[in-house]
Amino acid sequence: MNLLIRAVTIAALLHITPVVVLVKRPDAVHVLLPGADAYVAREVHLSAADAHRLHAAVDWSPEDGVLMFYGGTAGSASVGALEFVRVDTPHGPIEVAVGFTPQGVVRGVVVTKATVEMKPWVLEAVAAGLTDHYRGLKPGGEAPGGAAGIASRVGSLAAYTAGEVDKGVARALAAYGAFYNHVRA
Amino acid sequence: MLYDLRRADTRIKWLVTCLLATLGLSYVFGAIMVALYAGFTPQRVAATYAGPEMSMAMPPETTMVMQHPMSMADFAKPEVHTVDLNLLIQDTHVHVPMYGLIAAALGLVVAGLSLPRRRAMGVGYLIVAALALYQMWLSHERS
Repeated sequence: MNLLIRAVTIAALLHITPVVVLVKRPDAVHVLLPGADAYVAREVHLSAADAHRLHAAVDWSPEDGVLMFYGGTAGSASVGALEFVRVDTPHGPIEVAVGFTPQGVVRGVVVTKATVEMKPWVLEAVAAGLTDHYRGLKPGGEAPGGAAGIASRVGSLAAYTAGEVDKGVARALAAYGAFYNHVRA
Repeated sequence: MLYDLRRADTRIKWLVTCLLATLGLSYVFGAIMVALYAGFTPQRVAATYAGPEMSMAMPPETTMVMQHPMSMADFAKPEVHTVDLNLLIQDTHVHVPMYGLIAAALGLVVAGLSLPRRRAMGVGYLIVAALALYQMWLSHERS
C-alpha cells in the first residue's frame, strides 16, 4: 500500500496542472494600452539569422518563429504596443503581457495566465509589488529584477515564479528592442 | 498468508472495489485524453510527435513584417479559454487517482462507524465522489 501511495503521489506530481486565465487578454490590453481605440497586429516573421540572434540573447525562440506585437492608437496618436510572451516552466506555462509606451519603455506588466499550481505563487508575487519593478525598463538597458526586488517579502515559490516572470519581460524587451521598430512592414 | 482478499470482510472488499473502480475511471479519462492529444494510430502518433519538425515552414531569408487591424473582440477570441472540455478530461484523469486514495482512507473511517454497513460505505464513497466531481467540473474557478 505504501508503494502504491508513493507511486500515485509521484504520478500526480509529474503531471502539469491545467492553465487558468488570471487576467483576460482584453482587460490586459485596456491596462497596457490605455485610451486606445484602434489596434493593429504586427507579425514579425523572423529569418533564421534573426531567430538565432534572439535565441542567443534571451534563450528563447517564439512559436513558429513569429513575434506578435499589438499596437494601439487613440485617433492618430500611438499609445504604445504590447506583447504576450509565454514562459515554459517545470510547473507548466505562464503568460506575461508586457506593454510599452510610444517612447519604447515598459509601461506595465500583467501576468495573464498560469497553471492551477502556480496561480497562488503568481498572486503572492504580484501582491508583493512584482510588476512595479518593471516600469520604465528599456530595451538594452537594465535587466528585469522583479524577483530580486520582492525576494525578502515573499516565499521561495513566489520568488521562483517572479524569476520566471523576469524571463518573460526580458524576452519581450529583447524582441521589442530588436524587431518592433527596426523592420519595415 | 498475511492477507487473503477472497476471505476478507465484505467491507474490505467494497473498499478495494471502489478504489479499483476509481482508478479505472481515471484511466478511462486518460485514454480519452491520449485520443484527444495524440491518437492511437501510428499516423496520428507520428503526426503528433514528429509532425511539427517535418511540417515546419522554412523561415524567410530576411525578417518580414505583416500588419493587419484588430478589434477588441479579436483579443477575446476563444484562444484564451484554456480550461475547456479537453483540459477537464485531463484534470479528471490527473486527480481522480488521488481522490480514490482519499475515498479509500475515508471509507476505512466510515467502515468503523456503527452505521448499517451498506449505507455507511455507500454514503462515504458518494460524498467523496460528489465533492471530487463538483470541484473539477462545477467549481467557480472553472467558470
